[in-house]
Amino acid sequence: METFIQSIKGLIDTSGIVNMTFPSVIMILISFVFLYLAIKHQFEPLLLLPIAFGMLLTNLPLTEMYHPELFDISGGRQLDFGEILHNGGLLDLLYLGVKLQIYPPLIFLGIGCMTDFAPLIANPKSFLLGAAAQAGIFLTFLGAAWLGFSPQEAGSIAIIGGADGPTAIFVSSKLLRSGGFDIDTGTIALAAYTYMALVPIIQPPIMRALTTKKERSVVMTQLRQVTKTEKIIFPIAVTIVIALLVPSAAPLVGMLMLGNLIKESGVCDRLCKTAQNELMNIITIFLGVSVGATTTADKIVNAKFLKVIILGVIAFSIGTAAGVLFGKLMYLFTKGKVNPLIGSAGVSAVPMAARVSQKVGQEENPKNFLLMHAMGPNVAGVIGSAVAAGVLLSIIPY
Amino acid sequence: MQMEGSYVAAVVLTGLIVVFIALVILIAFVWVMGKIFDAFKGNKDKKNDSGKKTETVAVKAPQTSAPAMQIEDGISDEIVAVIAAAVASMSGNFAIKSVRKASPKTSRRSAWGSQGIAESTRVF
Repeated sequence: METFIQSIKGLIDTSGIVNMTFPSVIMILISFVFLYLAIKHQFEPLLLLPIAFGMLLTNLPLTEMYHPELFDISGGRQLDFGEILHNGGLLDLLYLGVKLQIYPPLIFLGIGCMTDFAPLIANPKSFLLGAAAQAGIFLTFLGAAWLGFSPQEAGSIAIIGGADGPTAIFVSSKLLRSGGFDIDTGTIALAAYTYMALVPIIQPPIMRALTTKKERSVVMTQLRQVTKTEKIIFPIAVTIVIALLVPSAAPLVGMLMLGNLIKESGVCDRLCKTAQNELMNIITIFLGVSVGATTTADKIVNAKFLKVIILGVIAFSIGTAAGVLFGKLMYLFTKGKVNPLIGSAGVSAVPMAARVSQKVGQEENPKNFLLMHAMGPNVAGVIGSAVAAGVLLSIIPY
Repeated sequence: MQMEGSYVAAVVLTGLIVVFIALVILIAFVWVMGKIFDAFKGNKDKKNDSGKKTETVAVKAPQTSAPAMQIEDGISDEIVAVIAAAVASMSGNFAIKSVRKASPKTSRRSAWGSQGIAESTRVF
């Protein structure tokens, strides 16, 4: 009988219930909120759901699935891959793809296969709107510096303004690689994907406030037809130009353009289908659940996370405003031929931001179809945010 | 670690300038590429146009010699009657010279086409 009681006692002592801490309970409740948002309100569900579940798994005590100490290389320590392979849990092994910056470029490969750059090639001026919207990134860096964040943390927070999940994960996993920071890649990813889901709520009031009814009603002329040869040359040329100018942006831009070339060449249908479906879906699951696992209580239940959330929404808003204001400038220079609403799509968040331009435009004129015109700045924004990411990685030491 | 103001300003300015320069280079490249391809397309169209001109003359010739209403094959008498009735209901002295299907290449987006686009983009 005593042995039975001892074994029951031992079982209780090693159970998660006894080892549960207050911050872990809060984190589990937060994961429920994100699961609710993903399932009920479909907030970027493909990523937010695995992220929220990863958050749940990592905060359940004694699951031994993720060990942040294995990835801590502060104080000059090296990453011990042998130890990770021998002692790591499932999520430690999956997290290697984030730590070694493998997943985000592979996601970009799939995005490249799904992206049509024709609206951008037909109207290359759209690049300017894609560049203007990146002001959100750099002005938020200013705000983060003012709030006392370190350069690495400020760079990671600022990239949320790029409205591009894989880019945000790519940059933050590099800048915060040495560990010992109050925020982590998971924090950044969580904020980035939440705000990307909130694009239809955050953007329209800013767009309406900065434009007049007349500007919003502008009907843009039909785009010219782009030849297949142009579509094939475009990804090759962009890769060369960007890789020569900002080499640290090459993994993202290179993979994006490889995916696009596979699509536009028309001779690699099988590769295109795999990259945009199976491969992308597998990587999405791995990326989501392992990034979610990094959201341990000490990274979220602190004042800095609140600052990240506030700075994140500021970054999005500044990016949107800068895009719209540059759109107004183009409206003036072209004597009313450009609808400034397409400027907000420059923040990337493909294709959500372009849909928002279309929707706000149709509120003024139901016969106005801005979607294709907004897709130009939208895909330019993807390239722009990848370049901005490369710049941050080049300037900030990590 | 608190950052110095000059460092922050350097990051912000360098970032914005490099992003703009990179994308302006791409604009220049895509613009030049577009011009070259348009020029090629223009040359091709010119060649095609010279071939088409003789065709149109050949088609127009019988129209002038035969003043009767020209009705394209495949358009039923009922359709012609409906069009004639619509024209007759308009005030003014109108006559139908020919009835033919509009080429989809030259026609603007039809009402049905506009409705289709509205349907498929409304969800956005």
